Amino acid sequence: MAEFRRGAKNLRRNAKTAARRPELGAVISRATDHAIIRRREVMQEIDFAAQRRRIQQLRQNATQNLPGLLDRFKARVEAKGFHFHMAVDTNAARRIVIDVAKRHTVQTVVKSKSMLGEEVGIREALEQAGIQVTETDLGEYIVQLNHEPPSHLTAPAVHLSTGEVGEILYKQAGIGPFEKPEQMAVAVRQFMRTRFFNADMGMAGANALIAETGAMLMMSNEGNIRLVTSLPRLLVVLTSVDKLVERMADLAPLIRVIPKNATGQRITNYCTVLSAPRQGQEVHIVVVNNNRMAAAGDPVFGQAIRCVRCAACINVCPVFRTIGGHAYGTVYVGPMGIVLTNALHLDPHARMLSDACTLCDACAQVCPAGIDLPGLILHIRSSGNPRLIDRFKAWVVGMTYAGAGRFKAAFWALRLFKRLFAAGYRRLWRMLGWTGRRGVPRVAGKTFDRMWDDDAKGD
Amino acid sequence: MQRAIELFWERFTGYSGEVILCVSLREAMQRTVALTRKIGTDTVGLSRHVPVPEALSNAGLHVMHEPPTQVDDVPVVGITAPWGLVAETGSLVIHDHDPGERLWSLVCDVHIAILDHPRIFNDLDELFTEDSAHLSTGLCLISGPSRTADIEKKLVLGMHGPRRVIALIVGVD
Ligand code: SF4
Repeated sequence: MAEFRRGAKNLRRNAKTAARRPELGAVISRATDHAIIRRREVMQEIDFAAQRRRIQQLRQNATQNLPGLLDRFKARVEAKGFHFHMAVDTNAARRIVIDVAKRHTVQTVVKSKSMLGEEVGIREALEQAGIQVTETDLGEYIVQLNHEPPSHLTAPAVHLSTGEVGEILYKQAGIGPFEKPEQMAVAVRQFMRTRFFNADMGMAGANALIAETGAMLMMSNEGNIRLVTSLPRLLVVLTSVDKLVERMADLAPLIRVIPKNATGQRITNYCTVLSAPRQGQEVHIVVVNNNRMAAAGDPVFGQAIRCVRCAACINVCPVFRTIGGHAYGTVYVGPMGIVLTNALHLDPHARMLSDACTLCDACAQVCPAGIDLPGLILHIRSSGNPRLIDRFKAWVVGMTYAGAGRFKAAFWALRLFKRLFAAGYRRLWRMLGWTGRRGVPRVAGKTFDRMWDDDAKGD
Repeated sequence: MQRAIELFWERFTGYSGEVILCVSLREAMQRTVALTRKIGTDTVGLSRHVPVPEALSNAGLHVMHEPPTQVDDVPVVGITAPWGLVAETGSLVIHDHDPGERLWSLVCDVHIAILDHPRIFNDLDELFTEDSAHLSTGLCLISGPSRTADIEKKLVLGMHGPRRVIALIVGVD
């Protein structure tokens, strides 16, 4: 990650860095191809269109009624003995969690993977308060050791090869040296067990908050979330207001679709519905807003709050597959990252992320919440104040495509220009910034119409 | 019901879980003893929901009831009694609020689940519209051994939870 700079404003620079590392794209493509192929297979078992309608509907109902659902959820969880906290923003979330930890003289925390945790920087805040935090998800632990953020929503270490992981475990934690993932996983399991049993506090996220019953859904494959939520006597659930759903019945399509969409798994290995504090355990639920309520009411960005964080849009995104997650410079990456970072105002230069899109529509096809990701990205791109060169490019394209006559004339001129000034032709593309990493497009000798006519005559 | 059990079997074993159908609870307990011995241990962690627990101690197994508080106290085998199964996803339904059910299904290398006439749900919709105390106190769906694919998508079983999950099901023939 050292090569990549944080902040959306570094996207272009970071993308160039990523493009200089073709092995990065290869590792990411291998991993995401696997998820895409498995997804296609397992989706045949369900009617995706019908399930998508259900999820879109239940998420829409929830996002349009967040304050009401929040009140119901709060009343239910407090009645059961959970401690409820509302955090308006990042600072409030950090303050609440650190207060709870300090009141219990917490020295060690075992934590499960949570994008919200990344968003509010909770690990760093706890560490600054002198508390040792161990990420317990294998991928997240690897990136913690490597001092970098996760590069993908569900696969934090997707950018690292097996060899690189072995080296990180050995150099940073003295585990190994091992060559095989099985050996590494066994060694991390053993090492982590002691941490689970001895931790003063557990910290987890939630996949859904159910207003009707005051229960929380937590899903994990590794079993670390169950350990984090079971063994320590003090538990903090750090979650966000957009995770609210109305009814228990809403869990069925979420549990059914999220793992299929994310990794092509039929179900996540452990799906826990935590409905009451466990015997002898004190549980604090911290619900973070961070602009979500306002975004939910926004006529354009409201739909973005329906996102269920399945990461399918990231897996299929050709830009992500080429540059990886770190190049975005933001917590949320890929198509959902572009949209959420803008909707929640998480970065002052969030608009620049909209450049990381080819508008291929692949993300919209797989989104189970029915979010029009390309439409929103286009909206972001068209807002704000584009650079002069980009305005010029848009003007040229707009003029060229304004009518059949202009289109033909433009390409006639281009062909002529190329014939007369071959070197200038290449320079023109370079100047437009389109050929830094790819070849100059060839202009066909004849137009398509002409080829068609000639073919027909030949017949 | 036959179709639901077949589907459960196909999906649970598809995720590396193991299924044994038993004609009686007695057979299930005998098989549990035999499995435990084959694994090479004589100590088991036992949830209070498991019926006829004396069948295990009478067979000479050392039974732990209290879930462990130290990492060194964790036995190799944990035994629970899930109250249901979901055919669609190949999942055991555990009463998660009970410390024994939760921890013995989680911390041991091998999890043996004894399902005595379990509730059978065809799909997740049936489960989550169920009006049951289990839903209000908490549940966990377990679909095979714990797993990770975080290193270049290579699947490894037994990441933080059990490496083997064996379901002994009674009363579904
Ligand atoms: S935007 Fe849609 S596809 Fe992307 S993570 Fe969210 S729900 Fe999944």
